[in-house]
Amino acid sequence: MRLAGDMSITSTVHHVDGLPAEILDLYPDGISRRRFLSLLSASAALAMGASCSKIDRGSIVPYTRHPGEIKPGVAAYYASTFQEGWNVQGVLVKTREGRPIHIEGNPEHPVSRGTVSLRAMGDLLGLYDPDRLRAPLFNGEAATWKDAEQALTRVFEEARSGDKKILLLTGAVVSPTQKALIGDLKSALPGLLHYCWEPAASDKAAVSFKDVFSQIFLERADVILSFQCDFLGNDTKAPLNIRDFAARRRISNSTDGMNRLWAIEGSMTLTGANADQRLQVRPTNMARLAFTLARLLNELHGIPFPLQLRLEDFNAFDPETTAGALGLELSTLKLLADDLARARKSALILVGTGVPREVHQACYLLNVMVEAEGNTVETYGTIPDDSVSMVPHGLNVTLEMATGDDFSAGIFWGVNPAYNCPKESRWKETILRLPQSFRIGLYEDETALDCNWRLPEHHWLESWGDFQSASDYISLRQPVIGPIHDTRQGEDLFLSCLRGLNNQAPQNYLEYLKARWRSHVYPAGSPVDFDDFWNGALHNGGAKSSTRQQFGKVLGVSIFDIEHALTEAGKKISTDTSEALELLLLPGSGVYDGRYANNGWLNELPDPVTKATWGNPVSLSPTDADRLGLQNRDVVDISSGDANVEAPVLIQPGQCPGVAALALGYGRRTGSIAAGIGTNAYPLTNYSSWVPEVNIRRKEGNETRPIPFTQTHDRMEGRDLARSWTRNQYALLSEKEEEHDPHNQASLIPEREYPGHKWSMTVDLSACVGCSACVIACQSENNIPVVGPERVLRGRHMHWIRIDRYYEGDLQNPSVVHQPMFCQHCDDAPCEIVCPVNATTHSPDGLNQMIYNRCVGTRYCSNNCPFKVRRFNFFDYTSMKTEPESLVFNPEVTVRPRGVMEKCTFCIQRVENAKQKAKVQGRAVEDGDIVPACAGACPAGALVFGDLNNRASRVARLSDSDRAYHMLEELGIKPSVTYLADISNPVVEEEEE
Amino acid sequence: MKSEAVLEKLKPAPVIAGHVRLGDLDDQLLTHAGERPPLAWFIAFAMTSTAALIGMALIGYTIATGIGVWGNNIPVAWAFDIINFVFWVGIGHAGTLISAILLLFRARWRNAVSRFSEAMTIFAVICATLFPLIHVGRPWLAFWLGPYPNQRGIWPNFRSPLLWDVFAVNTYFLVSLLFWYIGLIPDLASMRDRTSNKIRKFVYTVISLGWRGASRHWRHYEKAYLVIAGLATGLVLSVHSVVSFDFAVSLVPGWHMTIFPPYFVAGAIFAGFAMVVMAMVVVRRTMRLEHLITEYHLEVMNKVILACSCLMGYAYLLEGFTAWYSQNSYIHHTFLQYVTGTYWWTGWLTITCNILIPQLLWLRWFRTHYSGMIFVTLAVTVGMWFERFVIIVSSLHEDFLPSAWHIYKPTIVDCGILLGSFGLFFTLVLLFARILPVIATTEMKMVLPGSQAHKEGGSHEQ
Repeated sequence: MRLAGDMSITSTVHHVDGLPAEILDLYPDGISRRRFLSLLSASAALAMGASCSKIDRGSIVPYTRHPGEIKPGVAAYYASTFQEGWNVQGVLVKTREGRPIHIEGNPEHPVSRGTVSLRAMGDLLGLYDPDRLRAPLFNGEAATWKDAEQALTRVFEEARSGDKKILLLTGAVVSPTQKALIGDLKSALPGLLHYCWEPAASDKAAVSFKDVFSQIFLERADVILSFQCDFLGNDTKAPLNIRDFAARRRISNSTDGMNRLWAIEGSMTLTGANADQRLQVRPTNMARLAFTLARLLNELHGIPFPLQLRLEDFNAFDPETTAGALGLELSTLKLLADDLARARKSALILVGTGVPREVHQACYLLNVMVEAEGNTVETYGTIPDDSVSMVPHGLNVTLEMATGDDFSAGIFWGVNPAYNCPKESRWKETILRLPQSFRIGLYEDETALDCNWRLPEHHWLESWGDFQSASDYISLRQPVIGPIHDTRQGEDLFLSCLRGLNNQAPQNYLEYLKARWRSHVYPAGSPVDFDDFWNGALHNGGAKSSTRQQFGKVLGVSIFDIEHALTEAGKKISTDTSEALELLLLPGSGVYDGRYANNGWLNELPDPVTKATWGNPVSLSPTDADRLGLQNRDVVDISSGDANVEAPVLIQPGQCPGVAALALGYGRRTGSIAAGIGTNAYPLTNYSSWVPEVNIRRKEGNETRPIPFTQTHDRMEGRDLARSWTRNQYALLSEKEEEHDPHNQASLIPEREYPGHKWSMTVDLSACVGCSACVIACQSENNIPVVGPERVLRGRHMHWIRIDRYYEGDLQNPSVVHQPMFCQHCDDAPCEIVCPVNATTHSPDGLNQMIYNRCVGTRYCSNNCPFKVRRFNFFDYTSMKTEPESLVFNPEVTVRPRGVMEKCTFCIQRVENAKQKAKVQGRAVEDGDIVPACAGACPAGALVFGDLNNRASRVARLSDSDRAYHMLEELGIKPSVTYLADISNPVVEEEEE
Repeated sequence: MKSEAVLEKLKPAPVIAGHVRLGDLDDQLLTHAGERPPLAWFIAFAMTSTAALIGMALIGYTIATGIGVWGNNIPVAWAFDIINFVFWVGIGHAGTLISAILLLFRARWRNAVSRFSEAMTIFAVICATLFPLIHVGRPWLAFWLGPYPNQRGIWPNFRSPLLWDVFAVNTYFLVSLLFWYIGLIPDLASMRDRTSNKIRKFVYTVISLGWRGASRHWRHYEKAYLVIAGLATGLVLSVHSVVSFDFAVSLVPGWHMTIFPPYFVAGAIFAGFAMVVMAMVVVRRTMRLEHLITEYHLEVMNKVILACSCLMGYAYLLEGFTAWYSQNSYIHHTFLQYVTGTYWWTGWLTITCNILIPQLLWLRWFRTHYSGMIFVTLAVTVGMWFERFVIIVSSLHEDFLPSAWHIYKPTIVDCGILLGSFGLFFTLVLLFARILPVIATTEMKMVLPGSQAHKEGGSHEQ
């Protein structure tokens, strides 16, 4: 019977004779009429469940002619590239029925090696953002692309003939082809001036050393010293760093080698939270400390100074004085120097963006002294020309220059200076002076509102492109969906204008890209013809460049720089405790520099350190808060110069006294989600992430502002939750025999038998750094709703997986441990017995199942869950979602209605897919076939899923580790999740032996 | 002389004051239905029905919008909804105890108050049943808790205490209703005989089921009454035990204690008696029933309240001892939180209102004067409501994993629905007081002096 054509169900499920094709394989004996009918209704119910509501949204029309790659019901993966600032990541985009629904790392990408940042995953939502500009606007009125093109071409012509200048301001140009295009533009228009502006990475020294022109090899590092470098947290390359760092932390026994992380920080970062040893030092004093270390390395360990520096140059940095002045123990400094000296080539010193210039020079010196260059770090090339670099204060100078009479237009492509320019007045002056202005971007944002032409561009998931950053591999980007709105790729627009200038430019950017690849990337004399090469590159996500960059061990820093740094550092010493504090301004972990401020997922993501969402409180140390008489939530005025910003206070354990921190990227003025959330900290930046002096005082009126935390209590209260041992403790413990096997507790309840699979997960706390990528991956895969700040305040956020962050010890100097927590799929699940309607049951393969359709919402299961991992739909969060927002939903996962409980399912849709696939292929499910979203996203590999009954599986092996334990074992509920204790590697204890 | 004084003291106290004739009873108790209520009644009714309507409106709002309009969150998934449920079920227990258990113990004084307290039980159970129905996320599917055969082939989960609640509360309601109704039949028949209004006569005729006062009818009546009293007796102990299983069967620290069933039952009787006394005082005063509901009745009920208060005190101490003795850090923490944590004031309020203030009932003045009684019973009502708050909210908001700890704050909708439940309860009470005889005239007639042939002022013989 052919029924598919006239069924009005609201999802596309490929039917064969009315049934999903894969189901037929499960009934090899044929289907009786009764079974057929029940399957039919089941599939209809599934389809109904997968749709947002019971409202009939029209009928679906199955393909009569099947487009080659698209199989309805089967996901297709495409390789593409995510770029943020100077960072490039290869990703795999999972699409269903021609639209992307999930983003994963591309394991074959040699640069990102399978890691993916949470912002890349989160930006999927940005594709479907209903606030995206949908068609060109001219002065607020609807316009056509033809008009826009003509206007821009006219501007170009006038500029060329009248010898006028045009300002082109873009974000970081990491694309060789985009760079070539801009070069072509410049040849056609001599007056075109191009500058880059990356608000979150505006410090040239930081950028040039770390992000663009050096590559670090963390897996080779035995000792890592970080000066306020959040390489595990906020850095755009963090996922890769986490992968390499964690590879040296996941030990299987107490004698395995581990790396050691020393963190010297003013503000608590995720990196500091994971450090084995952490020293609290104000940024002003960091260069001093670094030079003191250099001196110790020379004096105590005989490591020679490079660049013809002499010990006399370091007279100002007596170790004892430094230690005393900074409130540190001299012995600790010596231990650090010892560590670095012992590690030598395997040491690595990293420096972040929120520090004075001298610190970069000092750390460079240290790296050279330990000979890290060539081993744990490789620096490429010289600092390139201005056209693709940021000169400090570049934006200021650029904008000022653009007020000149010889400027005829400004084009702002992928930048939002109206929002993030530190001096708003500077921006206003410029934009008012420019006769014509063009904004090419995704939204009608602050900058767009100031510009004449507002031109919507493609989202990166709709675009072509290539990217190369500090590597000889060029990543490719391909569109995975046709343009959703009437948008164009910015490059295409410029190409049309070039054609309008009678330039022989290709028809579109794809042609341009292919042409450039043919000439620059495609290896000459290759046996493979170009089209195959091109398709292969698209498939893989990129190709190695045939023209290698010239690398050399060029010292990017001269002796004059170091000497200057020495002088500067010698002058500064900050120990006073006046009201003025230093301020660190670093991009928000979700919203980054503000570009994702309209993204619900990224706003609701709890900051990995503070666990605050939806806004940016100012972090103060407990000491400072005490001194200033401030408590959590008190609103304060933060002023520096004539900039004044207000924010609520957050008392941050581990924050160095004298240092405050505030996240950038909030306080947007446009965007239905972004507007009014948090406070705009850019006015304080002055092009640097570090502000040497700010004044913080309570705002008039004693206002308090609530901070929506997902976690409101930070202590373990002496409970055995996240186990953290030092290596010595681990060694001692592994010598002792296990006292008793908790699973052999006497029980009236018979043990469950699992004859087939027994799905289980392990969580390695040693590897987990708390980056929270798993949270976004889970949200993306499982259609988890965003609830908003008021509801997070009430305690109703919906994340199925959370990272619990506990502080232990003294508040001013705590140790930190992170613990991912999600449904433990207990064998004797306490939630199952108390549900009155049997809405939560146990599967024969070990999963605790949640049956949304049956749940009436008594919430008893949540009460009885000791881990509190169950979430309740207090309101209807999803049925009002229409296109394009609703397009992000994963059709394999039910969208839950109001009044229903939900929780982690171990990505049962993926489990079932793998089982079906194996069955179709006539084999057993193998270890590694099933990767839940969280495990796939985890850069550290801390989450492992598998079949415990398969003794050869990773999960079985890890569960047998001597670090393994279960949460709340004494309750006898037998969780299926095994935790592996966190092992820290401090150096102090070894000395005591 | 001395022995006579002692004998005098040992004589059963009068349960009826002064000289009351059979006819007087009928005149006084059965005529209210036909009369126009006084203005005070209308004012009271207006207030209570307004409150009830506000409550109903807010319930409608909740069902239409979602549980999110309340203050519940994760981890405090139950709050006012279940507090109110337990509170109201508890209040119902006084009636059943008075009607059923005291019947079996042959306490003569129960006759004057049994009808009224039994009615209060039914109204309390009605209020209580409201909450499990509306507290679920999808109330339109709440019927899935019922064990009816269905084409899905799914039974509800009989291991779940919530399902035991379904049976317990339903049984309680039905048995109480039946018990109350059977007791009403002779009175309804009297009202049928006394009224001349055609409609009323028809209604009374139907609902009095043809009672003629024949000796056979009386025999059946007595037997049925006794049997159901026996059933109801079990319910006094079982219903609130089952409700306590909602907590005791779970693993939440502070809930998972074996003392919960007797503790809850004692608490229920405690709260129920307090509510009965409160309402009784009003009824006695406004309907001028001082000679039927004598000082003795009030004193005895107050003594029960005092006894229960002491029991509660013992239970609190025992819980505290168990928590300490268990050496379980989770339970330690929970109990400390009760009196020193976020909601410390509710813990102290509970102790004060439930243990300390009722001790005033040792003083005869408080047992016999309205203001004293009202003060104490009001305190007990408030104290018992807060006791459930302490048990539910305080335990849930800080349990095993500190990362999940979160404060709970009620909303105006929560408070409005609580107010509405009180409104509903008192509206029903007020209606009952005007429509049906508040005292079981039949039973009163049994305890009138001279009513029993064998003994002087003897008790109700079986």
